[in-house]
Amino acid sequence: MADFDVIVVGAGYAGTVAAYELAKAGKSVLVVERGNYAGAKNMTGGRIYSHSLKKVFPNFEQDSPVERRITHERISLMDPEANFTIDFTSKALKQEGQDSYSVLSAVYDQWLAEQAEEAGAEIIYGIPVEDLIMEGDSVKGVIAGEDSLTADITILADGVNSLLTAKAVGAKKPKPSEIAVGVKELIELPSGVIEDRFLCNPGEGAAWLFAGDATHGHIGGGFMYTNKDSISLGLVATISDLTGATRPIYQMMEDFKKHPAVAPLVRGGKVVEYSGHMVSEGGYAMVPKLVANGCMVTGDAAMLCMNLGYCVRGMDFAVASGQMAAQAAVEALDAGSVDEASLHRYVDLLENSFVLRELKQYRRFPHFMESTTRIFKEYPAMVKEIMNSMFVVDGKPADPLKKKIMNPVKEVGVTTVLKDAMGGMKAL
Amino acid sequence: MKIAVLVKILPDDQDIQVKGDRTLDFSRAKSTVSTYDLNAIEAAAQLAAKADAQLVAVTCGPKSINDSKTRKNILSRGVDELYMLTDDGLELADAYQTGRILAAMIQKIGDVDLVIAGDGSADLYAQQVDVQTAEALGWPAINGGTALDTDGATVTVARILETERESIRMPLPAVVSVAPEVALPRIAGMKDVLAAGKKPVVEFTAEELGGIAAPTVETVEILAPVPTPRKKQIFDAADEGAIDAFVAALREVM
Amino acid sequence: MKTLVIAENEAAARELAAGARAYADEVVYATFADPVTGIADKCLVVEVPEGQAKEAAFDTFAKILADEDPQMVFFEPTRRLKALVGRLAAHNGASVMTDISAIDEESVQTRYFGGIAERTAKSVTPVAFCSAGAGTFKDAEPSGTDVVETVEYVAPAVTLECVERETLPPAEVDLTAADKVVAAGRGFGSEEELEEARTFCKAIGAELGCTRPLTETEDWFPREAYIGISGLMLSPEVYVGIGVSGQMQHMVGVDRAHVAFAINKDAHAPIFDKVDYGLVGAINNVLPKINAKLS
Ligand SMILES: Cc1cc2nc3c(=O)[nH]c(=O)nc-3n(C[C@H](O)[C@H](O)[C@H](O)COP(=O)(O)OP(=O)(O)OC[C@H]3O[C@@H](n4cnc5c(N)ncnc54)[C@H](O)[C@@H]3O)c2cc1C
Ligand SMILES: Cc1cc2nc3c(=O)[nH]c(=O)nc-3n(C[C@H](O)[C@H](O)[C@H](O)COP(=O)(O)OP(=O)(O)OC[C@H]3O[C@@H](n4cnc5c(N)ncnc54)[C@H](O)[C@@H]3O)c2cc1C
Ligand SMILES: Nc1ncnc2c1ncn2[C@@H]1O[C@H](COP(=O)(O)O)[C@@H](O)[C@H]1O
Repeated sequence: MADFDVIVVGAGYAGTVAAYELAKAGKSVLVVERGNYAGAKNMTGGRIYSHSLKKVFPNFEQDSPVERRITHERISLMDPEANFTIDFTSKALKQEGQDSYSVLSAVYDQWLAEQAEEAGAEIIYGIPVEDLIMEGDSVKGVIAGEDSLTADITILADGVNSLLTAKAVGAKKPKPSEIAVGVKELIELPSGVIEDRFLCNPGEGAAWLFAGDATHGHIGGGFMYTNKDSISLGLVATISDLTGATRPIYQMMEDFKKHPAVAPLVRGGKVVEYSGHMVSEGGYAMVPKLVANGCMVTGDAAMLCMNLGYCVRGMDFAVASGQMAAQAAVEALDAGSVDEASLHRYVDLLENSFVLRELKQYRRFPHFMESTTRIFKEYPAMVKEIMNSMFVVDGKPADPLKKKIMNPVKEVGVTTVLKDAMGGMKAL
Repeated sequence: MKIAVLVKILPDDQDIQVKGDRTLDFSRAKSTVSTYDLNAIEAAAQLAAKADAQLVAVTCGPKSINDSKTRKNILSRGVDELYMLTDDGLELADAYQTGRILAAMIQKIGDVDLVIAGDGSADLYAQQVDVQTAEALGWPAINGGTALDTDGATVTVARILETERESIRMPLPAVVSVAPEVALPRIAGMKDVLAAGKKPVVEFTAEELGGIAAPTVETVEILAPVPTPRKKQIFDAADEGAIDAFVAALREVM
Repeated sequence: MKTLVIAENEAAARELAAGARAYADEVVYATFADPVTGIADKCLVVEVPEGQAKEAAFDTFAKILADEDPQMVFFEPTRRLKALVGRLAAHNGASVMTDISAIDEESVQTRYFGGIAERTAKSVTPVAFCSAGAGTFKDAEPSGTDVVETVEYVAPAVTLECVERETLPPAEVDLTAADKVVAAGRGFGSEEELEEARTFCKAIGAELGCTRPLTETEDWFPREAYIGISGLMLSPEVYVGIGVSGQMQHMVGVDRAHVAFAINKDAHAPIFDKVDYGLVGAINNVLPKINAKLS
């Protein structure tokens, strides 16, 4: 008999949710996490959409340490010397089940891990799983140091840098164009100051994305999320594109923080944490085989993550895939068969849910971004020109509005703008 | 034979923040085992294995030190049982109070032949609790041990002092504190951690132990020092001329 | 007020006796051997019989304490005295404050969490025991007579047999006297790599010390070469930390340096927040280049 029904590798969103569901279903489950606590090595920009979490924890809004409910969506096109922002609020953003919350991984992962432990899962911290026990093409457990532990099912939830998916499901090492790097600072500010600066009610906050000069025109973008008494500020940039960059990403981050559109928002704040992390960005094309005999791959380890350049979304995918993997595992264990065919139920669940559907929908988007770097440079500049000609009053006779708008557009090329707009629409 | 190792659990100093008013913020700091007590546990575990002795760990502190992860951390390192007293009256306890309580715990555990302590706690680093515990027990004590050996009746302690190296033998029961170089902490494996979760943890109450002694030291305040003002001109070697600029700054003070 | 000074070494005896003089009208000084004269009103010598640990003098010191009845005891923070005097304090239910960094009539200061904070504390017992490191009373002058008495040894109930004793060779360099100090940290991957640091020291006229791990996890340096809260507390003109992360426990030892430099490959290493000039770069890449430019 195996040591455990299920061993889960990694205590991120995917792993803890899977462990929670399995323990709740009465299965013996062990989570092995390399960090000294859940979330110790995790990083996320910080906004989770509630829909998937609600299916696991119906009252998570009250029970869990969410930071703020996001009620303001802001998007900025940033030029080195200008910035154009859209601020969107809507009742729909606040509706239960379609709302979203800012979270801090270090805090939230621990809460999730506690739920799993309380439900009966065992968690071992501080030990990285180094290898898998294989019998032929079946996964039979995990190996760390001199120990090996066996399980009927192994769930890989070890994040975007997974060292284990290659062996388990033959996942390919991502190309540089398929990997982005994220950096984030956590900046402490009193909650009242945050509410004043971001024009938010107590308990509510903003999600803010920046395209353009945040990454000095490279593919990627900046993000800012308001937490209870801190701000998550960071950048995501594609590695292949960065190799041509003159400034390392941590210096880009310094410049981003000093940009006139950002500096006043974080003024007087204290940086209490700095982290860097990989983000997958290949979209659907990068998703590996998701099951093998005795094994399922979830969350970022399965590349179930959407990087739209200016925005990364993976937490709700991780939560949903963790839950579905648990469901498939319970059914397989109860039926007494854990081979690939039985576990394929997990893939069916994913196919029928937003997880794979949305990833498929956005399939062409990564390519669109890569081939349309204008979004990051020319377009912010173009918007600046349009806005300047609208708002700068210098006493000279003014051009008609149409001309004002068309002049900067002509510089990029009308057809190019149209083509990009069409391309973007099609990719979506 | 029974060996007891004294282990302090305290907030991880890596995550202590200094607030604007120079007070310390422990809210992000998780409990951890005082750094050099890990070396003491290892030395005790190695000696226990060699002498075929039972090894128990003993700790006391405020209620906040009692979490399953820290308990497992201690018990996964070759320790058989953990004895703990958690009482908020021990927040900021001084060496006298701690020594008294630990001695009472050791007496209550019973049959302890040898007590091993760490080099000093990461917060106070007073290097006092070991000797003060010994005094409360009325047992002999030697500190700064770099190697230990026992024949069941005596313990021999090698130590390096400021200008001497010596080796002391004393009869058991006795207390020894050890320097970090005595042994490198082990890295526990998955099976050690799983087994640790099943090992006994015995909790005492202050009442059972005759209460907590009155403090001998009163803490007036704890404030971060005003940092020395520095220029903080940081050059990146990847940048053109950075090394030259750094060397120029060095030349300036040569 | 009466203060008892207990010290093993001459420099400490002088400084503690001088410090005691500022608070007390009577200063009694006790030691094991080679008493220093002219620094106290009375000097007591405790001779521990050959073949015993010095800690065996506990009962003798307990008697001195009872006879002299001081309100304050200053002791040198050596390992032995921390054990011996700490035990005396416990025996008397008295407070002990070790390694104080400052003292006034009311309270003393000790470092908390390796220097992350300073803790101000007050003794609430009739006798207070304090150990103070070199420099705490550096401006005070000792004074006193030359009266030396040998105290009768009280044999302890339990013998602490000294099976072996050997005097260590004196330290090769005195970092406390150096103007410029370079500290090597764990960023050095091997002992050989230290050669580059030695070349650097020669070029700028500095002495080489280290962080604590290099003396205990590695034995690349003797113990007396590590800088910090539990090692050397220095006040050099210039400090250069190479491959040092900048943990408080180390940095408090060089916080008083006039100008501080750091070389570290991690741009976010905490040391960069505590120096005047920093260079982000890997040792094996940048140190040879720096040495070449300096020579
Ligand atoms: C800069 C940035 C911003 C982001 N912003 C957002 C956002 O705003 N909204 C959103 O929804 N998503 C965002 N994401 C994506 C989101 O963070 C991830 O999709 C999500 O964290 C994936 O969860 P996971 O559980 O699959 O993996 P992770 O959260 O990465 O967890 C993996 C866990 O496995 C552990 N582990 C790894 N290897 C081993 C091993 N060998 N042995 C044991 N343990 C191991 C790790 O320590 C970690 O705890 C962002 C990501 C980045 C980098
Ligand atoms: C009670 C107590 C007392 C202590 N007392 C002292 C004390 O008195 N003195 C003391 O020093 N420590 C003391 N310590 C230990 C202290 O906490 C730190 O662990 C220690 O100072 C760290 O030493 P380090 O900076 O050399 O090593 P690390 O913290 O491991 O840092 C190594 C640094 O080198 C950098 N690096 C790595 N490779 C390279 C490379 N190739 N090129 C350039 N840089 C590189 C890394 O980025 C890192 O920042 C004490 C600890 C405790 C708990
Ligand atoms: N609260 C405590 N519980 C258990 N052991 C302790 C405690 N405080 C100190 N010790 C032990 O005594 C040693 C010296 O502590 P300190 O006197 O605080 O420097 C530590 O290394 C521990 O081994």
